Amino acid sequence: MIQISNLNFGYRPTFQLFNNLSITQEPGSITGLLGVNGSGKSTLLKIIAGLIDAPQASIKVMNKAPFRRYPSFLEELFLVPEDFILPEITIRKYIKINAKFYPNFSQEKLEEIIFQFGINTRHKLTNFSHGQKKKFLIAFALSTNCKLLLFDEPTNGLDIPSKTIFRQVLASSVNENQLVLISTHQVKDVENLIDKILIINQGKIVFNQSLWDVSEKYAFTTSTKPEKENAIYQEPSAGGEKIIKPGNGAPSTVDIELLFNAVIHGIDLN
Amino acid sequence: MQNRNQTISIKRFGKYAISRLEMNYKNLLITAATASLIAFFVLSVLIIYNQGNWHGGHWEIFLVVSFLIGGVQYIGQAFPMLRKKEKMLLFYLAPASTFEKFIYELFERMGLLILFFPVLLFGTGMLTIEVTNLIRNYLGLHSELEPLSINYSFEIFSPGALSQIMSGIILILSLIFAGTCMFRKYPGIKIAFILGAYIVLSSVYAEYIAAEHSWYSVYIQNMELNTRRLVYSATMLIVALIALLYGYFRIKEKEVK
Repeated sequence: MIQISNLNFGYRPTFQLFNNLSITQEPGSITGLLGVNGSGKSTLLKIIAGLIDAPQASIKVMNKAPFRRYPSFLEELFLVPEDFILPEITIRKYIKINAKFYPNFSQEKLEEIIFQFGINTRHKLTNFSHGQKKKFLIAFALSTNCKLLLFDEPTNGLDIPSKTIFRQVLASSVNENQLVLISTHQVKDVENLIDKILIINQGKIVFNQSLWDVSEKYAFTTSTKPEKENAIYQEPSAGGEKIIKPGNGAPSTVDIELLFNAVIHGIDLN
Repeated sequence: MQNRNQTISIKRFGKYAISRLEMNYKNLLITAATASLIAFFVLSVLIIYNQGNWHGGHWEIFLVVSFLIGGVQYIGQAFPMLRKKEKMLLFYLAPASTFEKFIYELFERMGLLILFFPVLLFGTGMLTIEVTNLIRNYLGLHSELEPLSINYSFEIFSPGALSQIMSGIILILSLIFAGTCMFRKYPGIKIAFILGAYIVLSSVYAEYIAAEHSWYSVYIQNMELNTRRLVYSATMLIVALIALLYGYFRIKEKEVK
């Protein structure tokens, strides 16, 4: 679904954000795009969505060049940006105006998600808080049933119950023909949700694995004191040490934050 | 065929146009009402000022000047979604082709202006005359003001001169429309400034340099007046079309960074 190779890109000639970055992603997963602030997560989503051109790279998204912005491409893609402005109309009107552009839009699904989020559809969007607007936009995005759903920092601005509902509705709404790419630096928010992890650091994809593979290859444990041997990576935590060790083939629960920190500190876990 | 369908599809364009009109119709109505109010006020002042010598054809100067000022103001606000990054996202991610989005904006700005603004001004003008006559009758001044006429221009201007005026207006409006595709902030002001500078420079060039030295000037001077005016009109329309094409490609290649 997404094939990017040799992506070199920078907003300034003196600073390259991406250096020969390459990714291939197939449908049927909820993938977390993780990285520190300023690592280029939002830019990568914009390139995938066709909002930014990267003419030197080979980029195919749903077998199309995104920057051509073909309508058949746009009706199968929905991006929920971190910052957005919604028109000064009611939710009902927004749905009436925009739903017809998405061939697989499901009104029932929208109503179900809106109900779960507790959004009142009679109100004008401008009367909503940022968090409420975001919940509505997330609900609308999921209801389009687009093949590619891009979420940029979706949990920013959501309260704790809404974050939980977000994880629940996303996990139950997506099918095997869809690819969901969630960019976030709040690693904890996507725990128990994503099934693949992409980590971007210093202009490259430094980690690209399914959580299942990670859980088989590595064991994530805690200890009251630092491990002298056998630890691939460890860091202090409230109860002592959090440790990544080689796994024994049996799946273990993956601590995404620990995994992320290990990769960012240069540990090769691929 | 596949690529053509990705550029223009009547069905998809209709869907996009209806969705934009559903979003914008209140703004359009407010704009029309504001323009009517301003026209009513200005025309009333003009009638009071010229009450002794009011002529039904006087309003045509008012029509041309209003059309130009209103047009510059209205078209200078084209592509409002390109003024903010967050709105640009919505514009570019809407499932229609960039060409359809451009054509819709051209219709909403240039199309509606050319189709409805003269009618709006004429209607407001007639209303102003009626209201003025009522007031004059009330004040005991029984001579009625002459109603507005659209024949006056045809009497005083030749077809060539009229086409030159119309082409000039279309050129100015097209340049402003193209400007809104180029500049993110204050496009109307920037284009008006550039246009002003261009007119001054080209006038200086025409007056002091080209008139004496250019083969083109010699060629044009030898033409019959009406033919010359038609050549000027055609040139202005071609330049307008080039400006619009340039605007389209600027929109097409714009990035949302």
